[in-house]
Amino acid sequence: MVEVVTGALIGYRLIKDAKFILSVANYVKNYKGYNKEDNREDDREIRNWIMESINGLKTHAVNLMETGYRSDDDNLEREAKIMIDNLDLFKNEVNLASGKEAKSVWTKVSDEEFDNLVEFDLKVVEGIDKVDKLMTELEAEISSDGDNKMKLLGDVKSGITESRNHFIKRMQFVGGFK
Amino acid sequence: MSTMNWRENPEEELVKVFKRSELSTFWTTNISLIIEPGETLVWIRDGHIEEIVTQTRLDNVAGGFRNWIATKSNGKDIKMMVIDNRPFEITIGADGYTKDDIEQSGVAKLTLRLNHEQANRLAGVLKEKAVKDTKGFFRKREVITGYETKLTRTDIEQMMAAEARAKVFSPVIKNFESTDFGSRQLVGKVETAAQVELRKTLELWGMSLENAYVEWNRNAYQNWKAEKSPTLWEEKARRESEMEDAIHSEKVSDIRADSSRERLRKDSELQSEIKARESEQDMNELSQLMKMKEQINQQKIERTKSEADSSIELEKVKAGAQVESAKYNLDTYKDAQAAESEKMLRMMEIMQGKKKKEEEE
Repeated sequence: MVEVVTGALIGYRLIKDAKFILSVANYVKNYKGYNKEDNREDDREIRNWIMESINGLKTHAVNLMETGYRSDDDNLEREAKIMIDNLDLFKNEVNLASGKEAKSVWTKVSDEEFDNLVEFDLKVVEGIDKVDKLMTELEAEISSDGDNKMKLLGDVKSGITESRNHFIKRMQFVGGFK
Repeated sequence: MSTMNWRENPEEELVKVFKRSELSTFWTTNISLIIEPGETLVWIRDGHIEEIVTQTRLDNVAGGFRNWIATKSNGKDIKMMVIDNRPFEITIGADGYTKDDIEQSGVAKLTLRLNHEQANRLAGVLKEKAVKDTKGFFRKREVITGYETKLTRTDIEQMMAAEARAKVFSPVIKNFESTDFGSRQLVGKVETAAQVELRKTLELWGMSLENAYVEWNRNAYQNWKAEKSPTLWEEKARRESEMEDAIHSEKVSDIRADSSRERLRKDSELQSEIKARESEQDMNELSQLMKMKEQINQQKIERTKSEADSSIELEKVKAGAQVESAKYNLDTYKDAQAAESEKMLRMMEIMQGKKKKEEEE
């Protein structure tokens, strides 16, 4: 009986982990869920993806800033500047976050810890993707002078902060590897 | 084991490319290379980026670095590009004419960052520079010993300066009056204009602008103001002092007036209260007096009534007495009348007897 339950649990975990890995891999090419010989590669892939995505978000924000600049909308300029500042800080965080020594962290921790790390990766990746969609919507809303722009501005700003906080938690988790 | 420092001048050199021939230096000697946080190593094989490495130590422990390079050196053309992707500052001169045609200049500070994830774009702006050395007995003869490909802060400053002046600073200066320089609005406009106008160039070069501001020099208006300022300041200070005094005295008089009004209001309230109390007291007294008066009146009425009753009684008694007296008088009168009549009759009889006698006589 115990073997059956344990087997079921392991099976459930494997399916769940595979689902998470596939979800992340939808965004990040070559992502293997830390099942490679050198797990730093996945960390690098994730970080590169985040930085490239932040570049894309920054392009949206600069577009908004340009709209504000050309139409003398100081408020929109200011809001876009806040977004750009937060994105720069986020990127700096990703760029300078310590990856720890390769031997001690990326090759020697348990599979379970890597599984948890996949969950963190998924949260960050999905968060950034959500902000990207919101920013696309916001640009369209501002171009058509829609009623929803203030709400979208707030959603975008909180989305950036949320993604950044997920990444900080991820790095704290990596820092806590034994 | 020695550690390789990939650049000679960390303040100036931001990107450096090592060719295969240079890599053999590390190949043959026992050298380590540390890629620190904020630095990136990019492997370019046969013209395309093969791998981006961050935050690691590449050393030849157990043949690590040597073997690692060996695994990367299978291609015909191998390059190792090291990028410093920490923010760095460049300085550009800013000048132009204000809206009111006053010449304005300043020093712009732009904080940039190289995007290592766009290493292929960065590779496009690298410049080959001659490595010079001095030779000869007196070390006066300068000879080119080789070439190195790198990107320095000065290169970026030179690449950016003309465009930034033409597209950012001159138009921004033209949009403001000479009196506006130093205002907060202008600070925001400079940064926005730099982000918007330089974005294309920066993206093409794989860089991003993190911050931009200008330290403006004093323009003619500000100089004039500075020269005039001692007299103006004195005058202004005197006026301000007078104004402050006036405001203070006004405030004091207001306070006094307020307190006097308050006092009057309190007095008036007190007076009203006293009056109300007096009035209430008067009312009470009056009501008591009225009651008393009513009682007195009642008593008076009672007394008058009783007096009237008694006078009626008295009158009755008097009338009775008078009736009695009249009755008595009448009786008495009747008696007297009768006696008188009798007397008269006697007298008449007497008279008549006398006459008869006389007549007889």
